[in-house]
Amino acid sequence: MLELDVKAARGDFSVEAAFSFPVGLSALVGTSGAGKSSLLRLIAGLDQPRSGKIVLGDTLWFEGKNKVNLPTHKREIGMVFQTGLVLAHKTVMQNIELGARGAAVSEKLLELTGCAELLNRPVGGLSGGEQQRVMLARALAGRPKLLLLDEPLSSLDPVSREDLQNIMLRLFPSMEIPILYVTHAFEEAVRLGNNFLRMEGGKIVAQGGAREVLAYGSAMGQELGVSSILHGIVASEVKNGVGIVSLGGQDIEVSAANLVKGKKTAIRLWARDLILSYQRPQGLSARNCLAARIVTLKSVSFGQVLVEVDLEGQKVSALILGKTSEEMALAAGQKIFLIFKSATIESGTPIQML
Amino acid sequence: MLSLRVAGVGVLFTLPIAFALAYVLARGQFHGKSLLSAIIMLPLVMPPVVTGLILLNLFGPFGPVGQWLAQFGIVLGFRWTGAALAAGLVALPLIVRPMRMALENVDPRLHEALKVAGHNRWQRLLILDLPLAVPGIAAGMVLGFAKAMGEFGATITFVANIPGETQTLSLAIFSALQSPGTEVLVWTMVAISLGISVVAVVVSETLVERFSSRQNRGVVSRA
Repeated sequence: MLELDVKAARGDFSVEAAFSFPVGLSALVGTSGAGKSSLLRLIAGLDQPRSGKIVLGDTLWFEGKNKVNLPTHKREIGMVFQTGLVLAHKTVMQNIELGARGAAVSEKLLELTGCAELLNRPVGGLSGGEQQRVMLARALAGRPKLLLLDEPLSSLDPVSREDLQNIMLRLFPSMEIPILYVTHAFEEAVRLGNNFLRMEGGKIVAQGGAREVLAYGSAMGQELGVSSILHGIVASEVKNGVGIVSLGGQDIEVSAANLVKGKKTAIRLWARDLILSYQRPQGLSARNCLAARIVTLKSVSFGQVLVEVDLEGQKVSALILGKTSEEMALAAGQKIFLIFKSATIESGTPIQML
Repeated sequence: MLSLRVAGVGVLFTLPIAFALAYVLARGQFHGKSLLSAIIMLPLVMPPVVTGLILLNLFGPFGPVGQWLAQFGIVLGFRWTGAALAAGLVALPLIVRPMRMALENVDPRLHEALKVAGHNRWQRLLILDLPLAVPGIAAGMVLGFAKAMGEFGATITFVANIPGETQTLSLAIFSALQSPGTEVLVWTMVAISLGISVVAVVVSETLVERFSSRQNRGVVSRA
């Protein structure tokens, strides 16, 4: 548990936050300049708050009143920055060992972080994504009591981003420390965590699950990251690239996933991928068309409307243009068909349940 | 050979002091930093005779520091060690400068990345600053050595021109020039002096090149 109550200022920008971060991943979201990275730097001790208190577990890190300020190198943290800050005059292994605090680096860590295959490569030849893998291994090598990630994916290409995200999805759920993940991409945050903090103007303005945080105003592009998790039972394993997940009354056809027949499973539908229709269309390439009922309509930014529907007792959010909603005269209680391609469904990788 | 010893010892003793000064100037945040920087640069701009006079008055047989050191059996005045001190001092600014620049070029984010990994200032000095400053150190050494070899004014003022003790190559050439019929000796010494300079420059250039190319494969950051 990380307890925080700090005030800091630099120039005309100030950060003010009072919060407790539990064990597990907390995603700090907000537009750039909202103070997310500044807050992370205060926690790491790279910058010093004006006043307040920072406590991790039973160790006091900072207290303005009594002039307590534990230097960064004694805080036992792991931190990954936006860019890979590897040392080129050291080997990959030495770079990882830099974070080990005297402990041995385990084979398992190298394996899990995807660094085992990098060991014989010259550090100068590593790609951005590979450097971040090394940085992640370095951050975890010293068995930190707190893990800080400052937009670790933001400077990567889509493929490396996917790679590192999957590595983190495998690693984080089993870690029993607070993990703070800063990102401006809501979608990234949604895939990794289920506890969100929204920052605006240097303050934490909302906290909770994705829906609560989204309900507070709306940051640019945040709606694009809205998704719904559906729980079902595998009715048929993947055959010819298509598997079937039963939601009870209706089935969803899912492409490419390691489904085991009879097992419970969860799938994710992104709100922006869903199409609404009054009729069941004919001759359409999308494989899924399910009957649902509109529960609420909510206007969000960019003239868009977030439509929440009830599908076999589960909630699904769809994102459409406000103009479309008007022309279709959508209203709560109406019957509607939900259409989506099998390929847009996310499954297989561990999904954080909202 | 005396010249090599004087310049070599002078530079070697100056090196750690120069690195400490360069480190403080590059990393430190304190009042009087520009004053310190100016003082270090003084030997570069002061007439060497003045430097020699100051040395004589401080470190000479009757100078305060000189008398204090004499208690420990260290005598600098009119000895080759004094010549080394003079050589080291005039070389100091030239050694500090490239080192300071190399240290200032170390990405502060790399420092932060090592801080969060649990390394204190001294560990970071060894892991990060020192290896990345190697080209600067090499460049400073060569420049300083060249300057020390050619040192004349401060040396002759401080430790005089005693053959076999303080008569470096420059001083020997000067002495020889003053007596008639020594053209052969003069030109021999000039040739030796030239040879040493050329070797020093070639060695330093290769050193710097090798280290800087290792470096360039180095600090990789894609912003």
